[in-house]
Amino acid sequence: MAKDKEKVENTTDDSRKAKWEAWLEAARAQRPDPTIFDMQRANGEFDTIPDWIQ
Amino acid sequence: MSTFNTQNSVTFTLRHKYFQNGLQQVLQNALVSEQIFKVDRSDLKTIENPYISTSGTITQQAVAGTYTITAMATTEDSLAVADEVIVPTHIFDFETRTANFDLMANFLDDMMYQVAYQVDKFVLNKQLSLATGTYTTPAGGFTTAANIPVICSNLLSKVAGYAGGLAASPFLVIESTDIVGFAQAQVASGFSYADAALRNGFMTSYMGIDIYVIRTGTFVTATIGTLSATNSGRRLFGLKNLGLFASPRGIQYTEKEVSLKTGREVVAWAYVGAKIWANHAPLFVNITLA
Repeated sequence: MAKDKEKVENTTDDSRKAKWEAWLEAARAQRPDPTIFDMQRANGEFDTIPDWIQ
Repeated sequence: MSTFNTQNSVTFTLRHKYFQNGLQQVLQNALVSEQIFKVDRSDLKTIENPYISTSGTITQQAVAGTYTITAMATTEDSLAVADEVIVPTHIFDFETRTANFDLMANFLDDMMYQVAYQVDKFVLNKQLSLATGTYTTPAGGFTTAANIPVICSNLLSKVAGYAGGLAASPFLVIESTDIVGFAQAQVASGFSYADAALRNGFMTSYMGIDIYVIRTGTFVTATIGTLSATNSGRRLFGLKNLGLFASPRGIQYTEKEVSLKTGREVVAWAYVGAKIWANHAPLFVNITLA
């Protein structure tokens, strides 16, 4: 995972952070077994806000 | 005027030749989803497949002749065609008449491919999102040759032991960057290799698992139509012909004359939906690369 991208906890842009959280919630809701998603999240896979969330 | 040896004059005096009789095409990626999933091309919005979600409770006891009733229940399961993929363009009449090549034909080829690739990408990502089996590779993932037998044997153990030959025809979809380990394992253990691109990404098999190679970056964490995919760094293992994708009528296209423009507007599109049925979801493994 790219290290130079913005980590969720470091971002000061609340609107981007909110959009990313909303997107993650939508993604979780689509999973038949959200535990896999939760595991991914616990592993830090979604700690970085992607560029396409603006 | 002496311009004989300059670039400018040379360009206009020397002969040119076209290498082929059509435009160069972009490199096309292998399309694998039709090889590993069932395809339904009927004009249907929804495909239903209910299943027994609560089985009766079995008891074994000393002979008494009595029993307690337990409930059974069924649950609806359905695939909905909820996405469409569209690529539109316009070809002016002067482009058709005065170009060296038949742009309409070349552009159509390219549009069909773009639609097909997007459908393929959606289906692979959707099915990976629906897989509930999990496995994390040893460090190095598929790029370390020594990991390949370990990974393949672990994956096989996840689908073994079921009646009805379910474990037949396992497949594994990896990205192009992963074949490093496979290629090395091939040298060590006599694994056969063929040009993956010519065979829809099929790179023959290893330990009975058919290996399909897609381009790096196909499994993504991104929004793909109605799907919020979280698949970056993930790979898919499963059994062939258990997953389903619906693409009513396949790829369609239309050419239309529009006002205020010469030539024609050309649009190619496809509808798509994909599903792994609830009871089969554990037979598809969401692989995490480590």
